[in-house]
Formats: sequence, structure tokens, C-alpha cells
Amino acid sequence: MKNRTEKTLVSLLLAVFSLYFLFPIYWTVTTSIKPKGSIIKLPPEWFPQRFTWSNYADVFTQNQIGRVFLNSLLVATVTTAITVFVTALGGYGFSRFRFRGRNLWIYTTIIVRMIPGLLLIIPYYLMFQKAGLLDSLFGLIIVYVSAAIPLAIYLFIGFYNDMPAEIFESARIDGCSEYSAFFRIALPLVVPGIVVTSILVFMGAWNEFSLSLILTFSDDKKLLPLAISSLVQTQKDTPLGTLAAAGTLAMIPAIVLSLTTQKYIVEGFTAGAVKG
Amino acid sequence: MVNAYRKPIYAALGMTLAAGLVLSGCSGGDNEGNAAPSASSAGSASAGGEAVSLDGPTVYGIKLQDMDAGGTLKGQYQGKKIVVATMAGDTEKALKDAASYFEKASGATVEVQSFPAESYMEKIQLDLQTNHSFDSVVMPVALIHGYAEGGLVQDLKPYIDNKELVSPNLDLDDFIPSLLDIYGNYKSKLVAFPYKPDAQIFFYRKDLFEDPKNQADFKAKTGHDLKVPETPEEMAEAAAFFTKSLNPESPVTYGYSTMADNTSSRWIWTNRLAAYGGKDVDKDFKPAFNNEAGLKSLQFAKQLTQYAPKELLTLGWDEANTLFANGEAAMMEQWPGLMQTVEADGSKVKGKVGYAVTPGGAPTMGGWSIAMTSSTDNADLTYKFIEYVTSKDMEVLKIQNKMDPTRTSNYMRPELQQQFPMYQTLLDSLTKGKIMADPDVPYVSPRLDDIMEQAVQSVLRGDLDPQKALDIMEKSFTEEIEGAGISG
Repeated sequence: MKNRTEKTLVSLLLAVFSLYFLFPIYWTVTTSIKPKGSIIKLPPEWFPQRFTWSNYADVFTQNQIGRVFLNSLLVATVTTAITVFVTALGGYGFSRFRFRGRNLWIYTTIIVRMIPGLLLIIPYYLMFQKAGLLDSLFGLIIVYVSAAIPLAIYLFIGFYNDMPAEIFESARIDGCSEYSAFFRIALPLVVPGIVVTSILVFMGAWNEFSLSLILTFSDDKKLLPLAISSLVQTQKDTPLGTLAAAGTLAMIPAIVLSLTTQKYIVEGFTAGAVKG
Repeated sequence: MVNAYRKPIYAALGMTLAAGLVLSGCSGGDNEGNAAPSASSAGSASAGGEAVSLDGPTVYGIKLQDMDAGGTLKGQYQGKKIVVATMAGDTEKALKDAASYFEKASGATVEVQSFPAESYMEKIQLDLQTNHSFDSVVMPVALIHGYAEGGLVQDLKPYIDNKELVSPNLDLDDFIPSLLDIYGNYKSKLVAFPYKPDAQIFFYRKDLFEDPKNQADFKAKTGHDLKVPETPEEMAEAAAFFTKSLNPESPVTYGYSTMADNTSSRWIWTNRLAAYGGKDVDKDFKPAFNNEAGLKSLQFAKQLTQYAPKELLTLGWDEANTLFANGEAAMMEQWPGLMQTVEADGSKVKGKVGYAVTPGGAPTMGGWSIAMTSSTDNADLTYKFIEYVTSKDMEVLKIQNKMDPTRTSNYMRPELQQQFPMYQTLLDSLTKGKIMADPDVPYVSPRLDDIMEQAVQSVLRGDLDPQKALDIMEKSFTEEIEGAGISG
């Protein structure tokens, strides 16, 4: 009896939380297909009565969203690939080896994460100006990788620490070098961690706004958050339908990533990501 | 096992490569793609000094003729490039449209760079002070004047005086005089040309003011004829009549509305400040509002809240416009863009709204101008672009992007008068405007906006006595302006 009450309570809570998190997505998607007149109706139109694709047409024809979508995809993907490659190796080193200054390096890396990003914008701007990296996607990737490394390395240290040391000792006895122990033993075991880290890094780069605003200039270097923000003008009605359409498109990678890697996410979060 | 994990890695690398290839394909056209003139504007440019033959488009029934700046653009700027910075949206689109014709006529490349509304000011200022990549900027007037004070934009007079360079069709006198003076001039220098004019307009429900029953009731109640208010007193009387809480017979809930959140409430005050003979700051940047004019206009602003929605101080652009479009209010003061909301499908007041100069006859003015940066390496070319996009014919082109004209002759064109009935009111308002939406004080204009907002909101909420608010504002204005080391 107690078990059933508990289950009901849990189900109820899950339903409330699901509604809480899913409703904004539902509202964004339905707003994106509503005609302008239906969007600001009072009382609100909970279920669209009429459909239109004109908001999507506006996004693509008037706002070059295709190009900025690809820019964001490129920057976020390359940032993720580089960050994961570097930190998977770095985290392994910090976890497996004891060397002089190890803790100092770990804490130094993590402390970088604690500096508010906004403080770094002007230094980045001035450095990039000197280096000729302003208004370049390559420059943005450098910044995003450096911003993502502390968190990613922290996560990977946790993942590797969770692996039993005996596995690596056995591997050494069987003749594995450190490199082959990493590639043959550690890497396959840390795949859930790679997935989780990749998603976090990818979404961080995908959603970043402030740095891309300051460091890029031309239309062909714009990223998605900047382009979406540009849809809002002063002294002009907020284009809610167009914003919702652009927002829906921006959600696609997050939704696809979450759905396709669900299994790994659960494993990743329970395999060290939440541990120190 | 290892092989099983190679696939996702290859897939990720493949995705990166594919995205890179697609992207390089997209951006391969670079500025050429953006800048390509429309097929309808076929023409030929030569660097050899021959006049270009550029066929202008027909816009609003007007065939645009002056496509080569009076014959001064002959493709002579071939190979040169300028960068123009502004806010994303309509201004950006208008500049890009004009740039496509300018490129054809001049031979040069124009890149229009735009930034989101919430952050374009910081972005552009940062570049002006450090990177110097912009040749021209299109910005609100107060900011341009701040840049002029800091030497970041330059005087256009030397270029206008250069007979080799200037278009014979420039006709400076054609700009609405108050616009050229307020938007363009700063400390005896012409630092910009007016680009986008703006003035607060008085919108009212024509159907209510013309209704015989309302007219008879109004006459019976007040002893006056119901007419479109021209003075603050007439406005208050009409607003009271149309406020349901004061007159249960009113066909609408509120007599007056406007947007009055903490970024826009000051305009309720400034819309009457100049009407009573006051100003925000004088020519020496001293506060000029702590006087009878300032007090009367602030008291009147407070009076108007009796006729407005309770949530007045939370109404921003969208909320205030929606409320008016839903038929809740009889009168509203707003920027001209309100017309698009009231005439849109779904509006309950479509076809029922009239417009006039704000009561008192001295509306608050907004406005954007176009200036040349001091750091440009292509000064002549930049000047020609500024001249081109503000020329008589190109102004007609930019109306398509909701940029109203700044030249008197365009307001006089019958084709435009017919299609934009509000233009006569807008012209009158622009001619009569005396106070800017943002105080025209370099560097500290946004801070002064905040000071005014805090004081006006306190008065409208009833937290502060109008005279006390004026005292506080004057003290804060003086501290800010002196602190910035600015003097006339």
C-alpha cells in the first residue's frame, strides 16, 4: 500500500516536472506555426486553430538563418572535438599520474572557470585585435575551447578516478604501454563521460552570445544566438512568431543530441560526473 | 570494442568537415554576394570617368532618377571598400538596399555590419575607440554627438565645400531645418546628416471623437466642443471624459495611455516640457527644467495617470500598443511605429485611428543620423555614401524599410502623401520638436535618461512631489555633467 502511494506520488511529481519543462518547448513550437493575429490573442490560444509556415519563411528568407546555423554548427562541433580530445588526455594524466605540482595545475585550471566570462571580453578583444583574429570563426573556436577546458578536465578527472586501478595494473602486467592503456582500456570505458562532456561543451558553444557579439562583425561570421537577438528591434513590435521559429530551429541540435545519446547521458552522470 | 567507438569519432570528424565545406561554399561569395545589385538596376560602371548608366527602380509609383549622385559617381572608387555599422533590423536593411545601388554607381564595395538592438551601442563604441574598422556609423543622435565631442566622428563641411566631390543635387536646405540643426550640428560643426527621423505622435480614436453622441455628451458635461486636443488642458478634459472610472458612460476604459515603463516614462513629461517653455539642458549643458515649465509639465504628467491604466508604469512598447490596438484607450502618445500595430490584421481599431501633433505642440524627438568616423581611410568615398543614402531619391527607397524621410520635398510628393497619410502630421511634429528623447549631452546621455526615469516614475507612482523630483534631477544632472568634464 505504502509502495503504491509512493509510486503515485513519484509519478505525479514527474508529471508536474515534465509539464514544467516541456511546456515552454510546446509553447515555442506552437507559437512558431501560429499566424501573427493568433499569437497575442487574449485569452491565449492553447492549441493552434490555424497553421502557417510564414514565420519559418521569414527566418530563412529575411534573416539568413541558414548561414548562421551552419556557422554555429561548425564552431560548436570543432570546439567540442578539440576540447574533448585535449581534456580526455589531460584528465587521464591528472587522474592516473602523480607528479610534482599536480594539484597546483588542477586547481589552476579549475580556477580559470571561476573568473566571470565578461571580465575576459575586453582582454580577448585587444589580444585578438593584435593577432588579427577579430571577426573570425577560428578565433571564436580558440576562445570557446579555452573556456570549456576547465569544466571538461574536471569532469574527466572524475570519470577516470572512478575506474578501478586494478584494470590498469592488469593491463601493464599484460604488456600494455601507457598509451595503449589509455586508448585500449580507458577511452572505451569513458565513452559515457565523453558523451556527457561533449553535450555540455557543445551546448555551451552553441548558446554563447557575449563573446561572439564582441569578437565578430560581419554577417557571414554571425552565430545563431546573435542572429536571433538581432530579430528584436527598438520601437517595433517584437516578432514573436519569427523569434519562436528561430528558437525552434535552435533547439533541434539539443533535442537530437539528448534523444540519441540518452543511454550514455544516464551512465555518464552516474559515473563520476557528479563526484569530485 | 575499440572499433565500435571509431564510428562515432569518424562521424564527428565527417560532420565537421561537411559543415566546413558547406560553410565555405556559403561564404565564398563574401561581400560580392551581399552587394549584388538587383537585376532591375542593370548598369555599367567604369573607372575611367564616364558617367554610369544606372536604371533606378520605381518605388511607391516614383521612378528614382538620381542614381549616380548628380553624375559624380562614375565607378571611380573601384577596388575600395568601406564598412558601415548600425543596429540590426530595418536600418541595416535600408542601408543594404541603398548600398547595392551605390556599389554599382561608385565601383566600391560597401559592407554593412549590424549588431543586436540590446548591445549595438557598446559594440560600436568599442570599435570606434580601439579597432577603427568602421568608416561610417548610423546611430541615435545623442550618441553621434558624444562621438563628435570625443573626436571619433568628423566634420562633413569640408567635403560639402569640395566642389569636385559634392553632388550638385545635395540641397542641404531640403532637409527639415530642425532635423539638420538638431541631428546634424554639434558645436558649429556638421557632424552628421539626418537619417531616420522620429517624433512622438498623438494618436486618437477618430471614431470616438467623431461620434455625435460622444460630442453631445461632451458638450453637456464640459460646455466645450469635442475636438482633437491641441493644448494640455484640452487633452486632460478629453481624457477625463473617456475614462470609465470618471465617466461611466465612456465607450472605452481609459482616456489616455502611453508606454511608461522605466525606459520611457520621461517622455510623458518632455512632451509638455518644451510646450511650457522649458528644455532638458541648455546650450551650455546646464539643466534647464527646474523652473515653472518643468513643474507644470511634471504636474500634468502626474495628472494624466488618472486617466491611464493602473499598470501604466509597466507598459513597454508591445504592451502599450496591444492595449491601444485592443480598443481600451481613446488617446495615446507614441512613436510613429504604432500605426503598423493599429492597422494590422486583428487590431480592433483598424481604420479608426487619427493622428496629430502632441498637445502643446512641442513633441519629443527621437532620430538617427549617419556620420563619418575620424579614422576612415576612405573619407571621400565614405562621404559619397553618406550623401547618397540621404539623397532625395534614396530616401524614397528607404521608406520600404520603414525609415521615414528627413527631407521636406519627400513629404511633399503626392505619391507619398497619398500612401502615407500620417506624413503631414509627422512633418509638423518634426518641425515643431525641440527636445530630444535622450538628452543631447555627450558621454552621459544614457545616465541622464536613468536619472529622469527614476524621478518621473517616482512622481507618477506618487512617491515624490514634482518639485522635489525636479530638485533631485537637477542636482544629479549637474553632478553627472560636471563629473564628465563637459562644458558648452
